[in-house]
Amino acid sequence: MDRREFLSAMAAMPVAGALQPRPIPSYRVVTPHKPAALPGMPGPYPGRVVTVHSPRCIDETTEKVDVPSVRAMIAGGMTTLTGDKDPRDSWARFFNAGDFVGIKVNASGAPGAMSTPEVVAEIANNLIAVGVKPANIVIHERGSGQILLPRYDRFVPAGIRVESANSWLGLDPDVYVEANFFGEEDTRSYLIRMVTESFTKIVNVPNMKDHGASGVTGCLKNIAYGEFNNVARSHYHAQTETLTFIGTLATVEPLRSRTVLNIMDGLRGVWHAGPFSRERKFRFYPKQMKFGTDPVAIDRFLIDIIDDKRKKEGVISVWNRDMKYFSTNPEDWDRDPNMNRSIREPGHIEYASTLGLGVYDTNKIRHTELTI
Amino acid sequence: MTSAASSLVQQGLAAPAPAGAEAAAFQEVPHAGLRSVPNVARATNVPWIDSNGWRFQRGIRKANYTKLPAGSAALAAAEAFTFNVDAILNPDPADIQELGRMLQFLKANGQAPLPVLANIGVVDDRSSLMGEVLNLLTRRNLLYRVVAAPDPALGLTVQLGTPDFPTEAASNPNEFAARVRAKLGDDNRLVRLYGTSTVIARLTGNGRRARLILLSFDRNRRQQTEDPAAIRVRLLGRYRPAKFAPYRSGSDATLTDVRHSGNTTEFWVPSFNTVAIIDLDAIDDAALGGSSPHDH
Repeated sequence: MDRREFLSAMAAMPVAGALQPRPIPSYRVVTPHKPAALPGMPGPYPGRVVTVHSPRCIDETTEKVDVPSVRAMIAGGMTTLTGDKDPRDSWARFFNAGDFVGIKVNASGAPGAMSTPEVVAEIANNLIAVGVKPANIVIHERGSGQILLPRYDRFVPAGIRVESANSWLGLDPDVYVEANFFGEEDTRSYLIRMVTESFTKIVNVPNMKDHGASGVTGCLKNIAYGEFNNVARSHYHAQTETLTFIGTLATVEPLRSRTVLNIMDGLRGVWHAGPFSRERKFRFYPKQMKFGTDPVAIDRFLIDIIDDKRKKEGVISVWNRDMKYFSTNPEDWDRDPNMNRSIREPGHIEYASTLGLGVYDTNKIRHTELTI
Repeated sequence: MTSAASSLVQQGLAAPAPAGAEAAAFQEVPHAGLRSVPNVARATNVPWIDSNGWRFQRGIRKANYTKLPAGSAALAAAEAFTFNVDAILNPDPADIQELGRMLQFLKANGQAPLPVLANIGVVDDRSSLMGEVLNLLTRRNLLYRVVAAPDPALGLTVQLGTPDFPTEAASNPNEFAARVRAKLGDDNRLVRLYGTSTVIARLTGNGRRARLILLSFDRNRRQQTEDPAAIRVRLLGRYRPAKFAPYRSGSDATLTDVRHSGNTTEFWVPSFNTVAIIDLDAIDDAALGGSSPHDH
């Protein structure tokens, strides 16, 4: 950016009540991959969500995770989702010995909030139980920094790897989404190559977090922004392109077809200043996990969880677009839950439903809740 | 080279700086570099490239980099090489060793200059405003030539006062550069770089071969650490990489995932320090029966 760009940015600064909706960008999706007969998203259980609560799953003071509770939550969630009695039968519906499985974690809030290592380990144990070789399981993120913080390697069986696109295979030059949002020069977002060349299946393990640009970050954002590069360009300004970019990325093959299972880790969550968790005061403990193949349906309930918590705390809704709550000063947003750093776009979840990724209308979602 | 770097002269890597009238022919230019400035719209800082590329494009053929601050001499040498400019360098003593390495590298990769490739002609009114426009076109890798009058051989002519480029539009050079980009169309750009906003590209060629020089202004002049796919390059035209010479990278550094789609060539460039030189051979489609082994 130069002086002229500064002046342009200043001129573009929002004035209260003056923001107009941005048109949907022109997206060019490039991929040689064809969709599977039944794409993983929304998969075999569209409009279906299973929530498992467990009051003992995490200690709110020490944040120590109770592994037996996690084990029971995952077993209960999977069998309720599929209707099987034995969890192994449930897992076997999705995975077999021939699979190479990527576990897409979310470590962007680590070490404060992330896909819990104990949850990830239990997922890995279940994959191994149905024959997936440890060497064919890769816990991964696009970026290399934060994924190392939770030390997943200390929790999972030997042979399972922790990788990022920086450490393994890089980006696939043949799979990308091109769009010019704000006049940026780098208009491409590439899919990481381990998704296109190695994984046959992906388990998506997002958290329950607020997000300063997209409103919340759950299944859709974790799988979209977490597997493609150059995505932050969508939210460098007060008005973002997260509304449409998240869902658009999630539809790209083979990502859509290979993401066959979503397990939302809600042992702890972040109700403000997400996706990071720099301040413990913004963490909370939903003590639950959500299971399904439909990322839209799961994320639809996530909006309520984050927004209800924010209401309890007496702060503005994730839907609030009033520019009087906007600040360009990051310290304002970090400190004050009544300040936004961008106009939040929780509508990205409903938009994704229009792309065929799942069911948004809660009246059409079959939601089962159980408590362990 | 000024007396500060007499050791490099003794090694045969540079000539002594001229004096008197000959020195006066060298026009003073500021040092090149990258600054990080706060972004008013976001919580982040953004890179701010200081390059002399536009000055050289505008006609300076002899440059005098006076008072080069520590850490900037190697980039200055690479910048002058990239734009084929004679330069006087007055390096900080702390930079002598690094500058020597750079000069050795540049000497090893020197060649007779090829014609500059561009598909934008800019009719330069010599105003300071137009200077800033040229600066932005250079930094955005919108490859242009300064022309005295519209050249029909170029795809686009930028001339103030024309319907496409009204004079008042130049009052905001940033938007003006965006206007040039839009008029040309990204698909028609000779070079696109993905994965970086701090690299300037210079493309020369003669129809049979081409040379692409990438000049990195990144903070440590290096793209992502040891990334084999740091930058994706897209060239208009069908080329086969013939040689890749990155400064201070391993000898095994190579271009990967070369693709040809239509009349384009794409490849990954691994991380490099300050400058990378890529020599390319034009693909003779007729000889290959209309396709190449890299067709994708």
